[in-house]
Amino acid sequence: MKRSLFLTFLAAGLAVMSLSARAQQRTLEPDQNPRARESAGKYSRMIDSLTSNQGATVQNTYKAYDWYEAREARRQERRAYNAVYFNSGYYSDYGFGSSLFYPAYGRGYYNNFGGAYFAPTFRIGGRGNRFYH
Amino acid sequence: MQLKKTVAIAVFAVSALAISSCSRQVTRINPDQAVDISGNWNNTDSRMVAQELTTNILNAAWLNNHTQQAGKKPVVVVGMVQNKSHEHIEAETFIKDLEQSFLQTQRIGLVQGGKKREELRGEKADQQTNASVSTMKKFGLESGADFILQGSINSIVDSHKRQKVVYYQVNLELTNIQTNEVVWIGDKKIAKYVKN
Repeated sequence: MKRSLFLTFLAAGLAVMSLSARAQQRTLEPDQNPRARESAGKYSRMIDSLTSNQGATVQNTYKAYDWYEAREARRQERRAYNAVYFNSGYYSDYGFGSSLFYPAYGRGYYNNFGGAYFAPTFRIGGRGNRFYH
Repeated sequence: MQLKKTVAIAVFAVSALAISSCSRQVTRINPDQAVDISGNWNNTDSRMVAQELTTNILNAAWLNNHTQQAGKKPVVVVGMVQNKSHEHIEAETFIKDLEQSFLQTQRIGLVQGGKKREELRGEKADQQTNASVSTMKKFGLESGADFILQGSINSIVDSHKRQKVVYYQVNLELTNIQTNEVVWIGDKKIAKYVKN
């Protein structure tokens, strides 16, 4: 009795296993990877993030160097700096202070020669150096 | 008397000039007209890209190949377009022209993707509880796309002093969703010489 019961359960178990294997084989296309379900499961969890940009333009722009624009930017920066400096109160109206336009003045390189009367229109380091001798 | 009149005319002329110089002038132009102002990407570039790529994609071999093999017209979903150029460019301006051509020629089917598809599914979900049974739309009956259209925009800028050459390359590619096989690649190259 016990043996026949055991055999019956064994047969039933084998039948279920073979049916499930056949069912799995039926869902696979010919030549389809048998582990396709793993991939489907993995990507099913990410559907929203993977498809949210469909039909949209993702902006990954870069900053291109433009000589002309860079020069304009430098000029703007210098003007802004000078405007702040000359309005700050640190600048006393003799000599050139520490203007970015004459960056060497007011930093120990130029003694002002008695004030703005001799304010030169030359660049330090150029021909103007003769005034120091 | 004569002097007064002259002064009045002069004052009027000067004020008219001042008013006109301060006012903004707007003139409507034909969208097909090419007007280059800054040298940046503009509507003319977008239109050129749309024209070139539309002609290219509709006349390529993939379309007939698919129709013959599958016995029905291909269904396409528009994927992501990546702008890797130096300017802000919206690809939608030329992608929409492309989609429009698909529908006008009736040779390519189109399905919604991304946020618009999410909205559609949201509407469907809403109908499940609010619409009458006879008008309610069911889940799980969407058309699956056969192909996905993806793209990229790249640029190269070469500038020195007041001169600049800007080069744009727009690439679109169509890929079979089932096999990942790229069936079509189209590009449009635009180069501009800008002198400031």
